[in-house]
Amino acid sequence: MSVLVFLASLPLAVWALAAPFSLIDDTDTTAAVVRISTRCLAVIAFIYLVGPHGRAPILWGFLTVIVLHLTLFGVSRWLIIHRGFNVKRID
Amino acid sequence: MALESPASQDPLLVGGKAAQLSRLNQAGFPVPEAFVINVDAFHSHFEGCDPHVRPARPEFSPELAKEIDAALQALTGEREQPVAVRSSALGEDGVNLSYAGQHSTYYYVTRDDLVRAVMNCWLSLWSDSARAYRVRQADRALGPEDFAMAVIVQRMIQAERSGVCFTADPTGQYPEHSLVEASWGLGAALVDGRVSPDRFFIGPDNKISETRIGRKRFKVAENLDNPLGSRLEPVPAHQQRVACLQPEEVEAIIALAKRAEKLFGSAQDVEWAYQDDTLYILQSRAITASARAPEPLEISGRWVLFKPLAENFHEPFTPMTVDLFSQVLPPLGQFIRGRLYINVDQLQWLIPLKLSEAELGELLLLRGGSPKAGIDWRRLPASLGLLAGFYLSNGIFWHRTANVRMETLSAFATLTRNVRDNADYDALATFQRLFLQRNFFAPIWHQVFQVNVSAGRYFGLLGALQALLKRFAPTLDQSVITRVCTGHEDMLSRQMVEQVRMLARQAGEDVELRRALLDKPPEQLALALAELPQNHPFIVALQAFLTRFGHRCIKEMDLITPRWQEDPSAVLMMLRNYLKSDSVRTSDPYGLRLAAQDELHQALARRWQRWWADYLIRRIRYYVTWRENTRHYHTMVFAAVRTKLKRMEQHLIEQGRLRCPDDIFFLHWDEAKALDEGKRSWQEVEPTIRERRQRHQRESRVLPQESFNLKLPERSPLGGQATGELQGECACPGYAEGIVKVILDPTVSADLDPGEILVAPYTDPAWTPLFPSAAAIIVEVGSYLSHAGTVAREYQIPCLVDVEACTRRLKTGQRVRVFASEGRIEVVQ
Repeated sequence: MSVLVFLASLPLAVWALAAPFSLIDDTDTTAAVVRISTRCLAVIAFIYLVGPHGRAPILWGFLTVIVLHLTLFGVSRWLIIHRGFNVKRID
Repeated sequence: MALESPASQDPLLVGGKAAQLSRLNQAGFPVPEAFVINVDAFHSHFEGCDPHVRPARPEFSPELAKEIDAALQALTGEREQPVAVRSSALGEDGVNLSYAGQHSTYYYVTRDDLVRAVMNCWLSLWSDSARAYRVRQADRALGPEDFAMAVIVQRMIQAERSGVCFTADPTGQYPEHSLVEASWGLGAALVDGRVSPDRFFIGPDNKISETRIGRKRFKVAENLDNPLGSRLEPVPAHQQRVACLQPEEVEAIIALAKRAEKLFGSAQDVEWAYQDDTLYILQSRAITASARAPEPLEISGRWVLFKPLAENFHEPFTPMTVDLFSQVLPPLGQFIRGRLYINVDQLQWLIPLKLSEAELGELLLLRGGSPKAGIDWRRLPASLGLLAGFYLSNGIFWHRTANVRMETLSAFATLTRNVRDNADYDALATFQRLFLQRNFFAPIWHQVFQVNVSAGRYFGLLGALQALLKRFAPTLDQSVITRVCTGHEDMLSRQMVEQVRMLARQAGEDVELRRALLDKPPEQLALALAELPQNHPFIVALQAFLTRFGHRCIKEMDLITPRWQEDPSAVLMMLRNYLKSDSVRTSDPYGLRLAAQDELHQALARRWQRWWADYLIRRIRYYVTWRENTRHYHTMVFAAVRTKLKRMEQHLIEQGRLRCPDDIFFLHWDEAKALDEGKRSWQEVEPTIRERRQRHQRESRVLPQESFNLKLPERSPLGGQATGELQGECACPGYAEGIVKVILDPTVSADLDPGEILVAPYTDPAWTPLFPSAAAIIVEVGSYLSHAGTVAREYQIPCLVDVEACTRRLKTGQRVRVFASEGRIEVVQ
């Protein structure tokens, strides 16, 4: 059950974590707040549905997404800046 | 030894090049007068020298110097005329090896410098590039016993135009054709790959079958004030894009070259020049492997050409562009010979279908429809795992791009300007900064590349809409999808067309200006515009246009290409096209779309079906616009990086560390940086630049290899002119009949009359303003997703893409019927 909750929380986390960025991505602050609220409500509803035992897997799901996302950003940035992304040149 | 002497035909005595020249001379060809310093003179100076170890510069024999002086007097008479000094090594210009560009040639050599030039010519046998060439070609090169060089001293031809002629297509693609390449001034600019020459393809009937006008920005002048300094001069703007040969001159060259072919018994590569309208042959050699298509590469892994990038232009990227681009390229992609390929071995893990090698290649090349393949269950878990991993690590970016207002992207223009004007950022740092945002919490419009990639999801949504209509409205004409997904008011390509139209209208209101735009040749047009006051409405509007769209141009992703801001002649050509007729196509985006939407709603019975269809249409329209607009913004990055590189180049030229404009684009970034920091010198990089320029020119002649280590089904061989039907992929459905107009480069010719059918080799946004004049569009490369298709759908112009060799098979003036929905073209006349 915990595994299922964890797996289900992954796409939810991706979707929900994208919402706060609306505040910097979108010039329409009202639309951004509406978007954040909607997604927060969806997460709260999910937590409520799975009950108290599902909270830890949901937390792990959110942490996993944050770590993966930061890792991809950090690693690709490091590779590009240190010119290690694609070093072969075939003339 | 005079060229007329029978002994001068002996290649072991005078070298390959001189022997060939002597034979031509004695057969009555127009060869400039010359004498040869044979290999005995070389041996007397370099007896016993090791071919691999550069010897000390020996003292020039005084007796030989006297003999040369006497021969020079006999050649040029009492008047002090300059001469050309050319190498003629043993084996040079042979059947196996040409040694093209490996040994030195000196132009405008005076009597005082002649002995030094001869010695330099000999010593060029030990140049780094010549030694490397001999090592690379060790199996075909002559042995050390035949290591020697004769030298040709030839009357200097002060060529106004020159070039090369291949009596058989050197690319090996069209064996029945010959090729003449021509440029202004001396041939050195062309041979060194410094100019993009005019290319004339000549059919078996010795008539020109195709002309491609190059951009001849530089020339080696016909009269040099300072032969030892920089030899390149800029070509005046009005001469850069006009053909430098008349058809009868091309025919004269080919006739002479064919005679040479007959004389030598094999296909020839002939160097020619025109001085005072007299044609001369400067040298002739057998077409060697080096002149042909590049030799096969040994590459591990299977690679296929990345079609979405290949469809934007034919020519390979220059080395600097490749080097900077590669910095930000994931290992899935790789530049090979200046073109981007993707790794099939890695990519196939993302495609869990049972596909043969050929089917996979066809799928990746976006050829034909979707393959009917079953699922490969073995590969499915890995594919799903990879996709899930990608979604979890990149999905936040993905969702962030789903709901952003179009106007926010304009902030990227400000960011680009700031980075461009900030001296702390060099070209590489500019590329990195603008490609990859430093800050994780920066707005998404700072990351236009990622947005551009994520917007490609509209293709999946399009598939979903097609499936919905197929299931619930099977009788509905599928072209309704095209109509219902058009009318993107925010699309910048569309706005660019509208602005050009407005500019044309503005120019049309001023009678004098209209006449100037329509009638005057470009150089006079520039003068006419310069005379207009700065507050003239047209000048103000033109400036506004260039401020907004001036970073765009043909082949805009290659850093070597000048932008419209630098050279607005292409914009003026488009204006001329619009002024020629007021009846160019306009489109009513609202009316078309609403009518199509009504039709679709009536065909779908249930409310949820209509809701779902409307949702998909909204999303498709949103992402299509994003995709086009982000391209507009990310090309600003290329313009900014180009500005940085040009500033660096200017500095290097002033310091004497670079000699010629645009040479910087033939270096890698590390090399340019080392030059800038004084760690390398011009002498060190010059051979590299020359070799890369020549290779780039060679590779520009050929169409890109579609794959490496992957077997693709062969396409039917092409004939000459089309007689029946041509097939292509539909990018915008519809039917049209009209006269073909083949346009190879809109900056050379953009004369498209309304109702004509535009046939183009490729299209990118700079072609867009031509589209509304066309009754239909036929493009050689491309796919449904390509720029041509997207813009054609905006204007509801029937459009076929991926029509193989259509620019050669269809001729201007032919009448054709385009059945775009069926993917075929019928030649009527």
